[in-house]
Amino acid sequence: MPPIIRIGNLTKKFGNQFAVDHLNLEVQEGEILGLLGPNGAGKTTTILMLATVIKPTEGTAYVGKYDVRKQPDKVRHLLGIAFQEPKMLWVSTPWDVVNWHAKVCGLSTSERKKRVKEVLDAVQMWDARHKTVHALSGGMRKRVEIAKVLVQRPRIAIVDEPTAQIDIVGKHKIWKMLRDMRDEGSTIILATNELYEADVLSDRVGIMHRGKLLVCDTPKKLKDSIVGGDIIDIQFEGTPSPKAVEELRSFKEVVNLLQTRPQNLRVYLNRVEEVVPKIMNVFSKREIAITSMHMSEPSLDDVFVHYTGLTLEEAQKAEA
Amino acid sequence: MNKLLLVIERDVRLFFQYKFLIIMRAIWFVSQIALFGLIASRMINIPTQTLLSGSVNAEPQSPYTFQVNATTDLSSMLVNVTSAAGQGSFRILLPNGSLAQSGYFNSSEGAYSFPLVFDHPAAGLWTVQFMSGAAGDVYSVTASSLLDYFRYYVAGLSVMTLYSAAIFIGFDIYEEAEHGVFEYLLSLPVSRRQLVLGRSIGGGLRSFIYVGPLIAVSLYVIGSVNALSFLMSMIALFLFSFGVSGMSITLAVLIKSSDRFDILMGVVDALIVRLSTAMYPLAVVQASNPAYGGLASINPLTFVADLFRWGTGMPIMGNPLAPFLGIVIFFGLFTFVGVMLYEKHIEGGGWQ
Repeated sequence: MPPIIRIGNLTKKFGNQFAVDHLNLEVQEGEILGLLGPNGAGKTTTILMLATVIKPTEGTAYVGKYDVRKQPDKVRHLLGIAFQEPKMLWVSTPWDVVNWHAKVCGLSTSERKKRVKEVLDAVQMWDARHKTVHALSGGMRKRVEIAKVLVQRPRIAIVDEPTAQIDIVGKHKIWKMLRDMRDEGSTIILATNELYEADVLSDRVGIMHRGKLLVCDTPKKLKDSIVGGDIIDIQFEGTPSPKAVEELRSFKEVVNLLQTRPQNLRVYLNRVEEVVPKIMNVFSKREIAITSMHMSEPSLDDVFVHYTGLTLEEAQKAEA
Repeated sequence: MNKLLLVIERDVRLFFQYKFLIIMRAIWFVSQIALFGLIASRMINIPTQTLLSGSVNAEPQSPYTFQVNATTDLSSMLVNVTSAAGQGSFRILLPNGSLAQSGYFNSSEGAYSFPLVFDHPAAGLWTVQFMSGAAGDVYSVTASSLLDYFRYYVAGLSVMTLYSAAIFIGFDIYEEAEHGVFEYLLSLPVSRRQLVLGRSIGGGLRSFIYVGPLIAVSLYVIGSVNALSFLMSMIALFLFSFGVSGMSITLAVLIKSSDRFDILMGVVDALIVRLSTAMYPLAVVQASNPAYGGLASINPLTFVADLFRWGTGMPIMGNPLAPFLGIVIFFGLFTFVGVMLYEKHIEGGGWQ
C-alpha cells in the first residue's frame, strides 16, 4: 500500500535558521507515527507545513495524493490537528469550540450532537462545557483541544503533545482514544517530547533534532539498534566458572561482558528476550546456581542519546 | 457556501460573547446622546430657530432682498410668504453669489410656505430675493434651517458607533494571533477565500447587528422616517460596515503588530471621524479650512452619515446618488481588494 504521507526534502527556514532541514519521511496508512524530539527540534513546524498553515521554504509533502504546496485546500480536508497550545479565545466555551469545529468539519446535525456529547464526556469536559475558557485550567483546555480531533475523526490526525499538562488517568484515556481512532482507520502523527508516550503509543518513532530527522523505525528496532543496549545483571551463589563466562561471551548477541564482582556479571547484549533462554540453558547445563537476574532494555532516551550524544533533557536545555 | 456561513456565524457569535464591551459601548452611546448631544445642541446654534423674518410694502416690479447670515451650514430653508394677492418669483443666492435656488410662488389663497433643500450648503451671508408682480403687496418672509443639531448629531453618532464596532475585527485578528487561534483557523477544511471573505462579512454583519438597537434609539430620537430612503440609507450603512471591516482586516494584516495597529487606528479614527460630517456639517469644516472641507467631502464616513440623515428624513442633501456611489466604491475596495491582500498575507505563514 502506498504511504498516505510522503515528505520529500521538506525544509523551512526562518531567516537564516533552519527550523526543518531537508526532512524525508513516509507515513503508512493506519499507523501511529511518533515524532520525538526536544522543543525546537522542528516537530511543530513540520506539522504546520503538513497542515498547510505555513509554506515550506523548499521541498514538499504529499498528503493522500495532494501536494501541500499546490492543493492545500484538498489537503486540509484530510487532516485534523490538535495543537500543542490550546487554540481558543478566552470568551469561548468548550461546547462552542468543539461544536463549531464539528460543524466546520461537515458533521451532520444529529451526528454532531451525538459525537460532541460523547467526546466531551470522554475527556471529562461535559460538566464544564459552558464555562468560558478563562475559567478552565491548563489541563482542561488541553482536553478541549484534543476533543476537536476526536470529534472530527479525520483520515489523518495530527496531535502535538496531546497529553501535556494532563493527569495520568487522563493521559491513559486519551491514549486509548487515539488507539481506537487508529483502529478505526485513522493515521495518527504524534509529536511529543515524552519518551514514554512515544514508546507506548507509536507504531514507529521518528527522532528529530535541530530540524533533522535522525532515524525512524519501530520503538523495538530503535532500541535494538543500540549495540549492546540491553543489559542483564546476574548474581550467582558462587563465582561463575570461566568456561561458562566464555560460553556466554561467544553468543553473537553479546557485545560485552563485565564481572563487576566475583559473584556478579553484567552482560551487554542485543535482543535480550531471545538470548535469555540460551543463557539459562548454559547455567542449567553447567549446574550453576543463580540468586537473581535483572534485565533492562534501553529506553527511547537511550536511543536519543545514541543518535544525538545528548539526553532529551540536555537537548531541551540546549535549545532553550 | 456552508463553510462561508459558518465562518460568518463564528465571528458574529464571538463578538457577542464580549458582553462587557457591548454593554459599555451601549452605555457610551446613550451617554453621548444624553450628555454631549443635548449640551452640544445648545452650544452649536443651527437651527430650528428663525434666521430671518420681515415684511415689506412692495413696489411693483422691484426685487426685495433679504439677507440671512447663516453662521453654520444652511443646507435647507423654510420660506413663508404672506401676501394679499401676490404671486411672483424668488431667487436664493449662496454666500459666494451663485444661484442656489429659484422658482415661483403664488400666495393668493393665503399664507404660502415652501421648504427648500440646497445641493451646495454653505455658511455665510445668504441672499433671498423676491420679485413682486403687484403694487402694495405685503410679504412676510421667514427663513430658517430645517436642521436640528441634536438630531444631526444622533444620526452621526450611530454611524460613528458602527464604524468603531466594524474596526473591532482588526483587534480580533491580533487577539487570535496571540492565542494561536489564527493557526487553528488556517488548518481548517475551509478555503482561504471562504475564510477571509467570511471574516470580512462577519466583521461587518456583527457590527451592523450590534448597531441595530442603537439605530432604533436614534430613530426614536430623530423622529421622521421615509421608508424608501431609509432602506437605501440602511443598505449604505450595511456596505459601509463591510468596507470598514475589510479595511481593519487589511491594516491589521499589513501592520502585523498589535501596538502599531492600535496607534494607527487611533490616527485613522481621528482622521476619518473628525474629518467627516459625523459631528458637524460640511460647511463648518469647509469654513474652518478649505483643505479639511475637501478631504471631508470624499470621506466615506461623510457619505454614510449624510445618507443616514437623508434616510431619516433630514433635509441634508438633494441627490443621494453620489455619496451612495462613494460607499459602494469604499465597500468594493476594501472588501475585495482587502480580502485579496489578506489572503496573500496569511497564505504560507506570511502573517507570522
